[in-house]
Amino acid sequence: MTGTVITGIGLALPGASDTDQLWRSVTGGRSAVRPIERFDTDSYPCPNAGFLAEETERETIGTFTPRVRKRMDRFCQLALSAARSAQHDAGLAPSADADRTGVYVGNMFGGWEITEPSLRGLLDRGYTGVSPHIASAWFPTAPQGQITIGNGLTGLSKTLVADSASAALAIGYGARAVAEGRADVLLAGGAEAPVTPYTYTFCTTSGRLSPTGTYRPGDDAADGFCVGEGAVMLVLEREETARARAAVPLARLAGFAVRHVPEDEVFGPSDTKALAAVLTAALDEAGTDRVDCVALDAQGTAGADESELSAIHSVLGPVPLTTAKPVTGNLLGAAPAVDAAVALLSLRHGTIPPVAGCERPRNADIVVGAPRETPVRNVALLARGADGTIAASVLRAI
Amino acid sequence: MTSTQSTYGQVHDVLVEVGLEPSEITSGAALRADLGVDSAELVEIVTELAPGSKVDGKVLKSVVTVADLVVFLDNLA
Repeated sequence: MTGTVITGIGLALPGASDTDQLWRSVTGGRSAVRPIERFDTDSYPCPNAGFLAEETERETIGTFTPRVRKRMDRFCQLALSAARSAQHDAGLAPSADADRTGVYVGNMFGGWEITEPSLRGLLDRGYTGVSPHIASAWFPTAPQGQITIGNGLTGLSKTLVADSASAALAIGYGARAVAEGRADVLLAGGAEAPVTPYTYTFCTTSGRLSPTGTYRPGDDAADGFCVGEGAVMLVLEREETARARAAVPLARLAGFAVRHVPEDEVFGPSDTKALAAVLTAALDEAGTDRVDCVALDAQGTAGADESELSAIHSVLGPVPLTTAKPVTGNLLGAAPAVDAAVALLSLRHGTIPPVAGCERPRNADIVVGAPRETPVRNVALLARGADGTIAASVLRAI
Repeated sequence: MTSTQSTYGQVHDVLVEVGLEPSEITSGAALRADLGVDSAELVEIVTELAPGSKVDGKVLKSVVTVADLVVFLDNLA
């Protein structure tokens, strides 16, 4: 895949309303994961999650009018805010060719902040107790719809749902669509807002949350993850399109590969070969057999971490490993977009951030403690979904 | 909602409450085309003005202007 570049980053994340804030958090190893206060978590085994603090919310979704916000769920507001920031970062004019500009969004759960009270209203008052805004608010494609409607975009658009690999597919397939000329510009990324009682129930019953309320992937004591809410959107376009409008490409999406394995294998030892094959395919497309660091899928369990580390070692040998997910919490369907944003910042700064919370790494390649300053030209990113999706991408400096 | 005049006043107040510019609200203003009120928001407005009413979606489709909404609500009463 040649020719697709990234020209803008927009985000609305726990602890970060812009890339500078995100970079300070990840290089400082400062996690925004903290006790959930929105609802009583006594019956949930993991009381901690990453969510937007009041100030970050004010700077992002808080800038929308109440009339805009009431029409859409929280995950959709986050996506809309990130998309707006990405457009601004890329210098995209609102009047950019609407027919050739589209949106690719990865999401896992849809949105339940409007739906949950309505279900209570249905129980108490019948159907008149249900919010009419549910109709366009809850489903995973809502961000795609709101971003395109809000910006008058009519180009190729899709929503990708593949558990915690969703945004990797949105960015990867989006980059392919741009490279193939199916769109000139795509806003691609992910959004998730799982910190509601009902959604958090799904997170809990999945068995993937940490019973100790910690998220320390790669650590010997890792026992699951804490979720986070937020959105990251990138601007993808062909290099010549970017150059023609005098935009400065941040990086190239040089390789992308995806494969599916049985659900019960994706995080286990038998996943190692498949993950190694996907990583190899992405590297082949990028025309390289080495990278400067790998952004981990980072499920944060002994089995899933071990299979991932084994796969990487079998393909690349010793290589610095990192992930920003513990800083924001695992954003599930949007999580790969968080790592993509941080990888872009690593390329910019020549620095590999540490894995926050990882104190006893099960592998010497895992970057812990202080950020590592080193030339960074190629970053591989891995993502796995409980549905059996495995994806790998390679970002390359321009 | 005992008279058209008072119903208009209540409609006006609720439209302002949902975030519309007071100066844009006139009897002849088209809810969707002029004021950006979509079908979901229209249901929200009707529910606010006539709590508990079982809104007939098909009839609501004939509500185009603010004046139509006033008549619709008066007929509900």
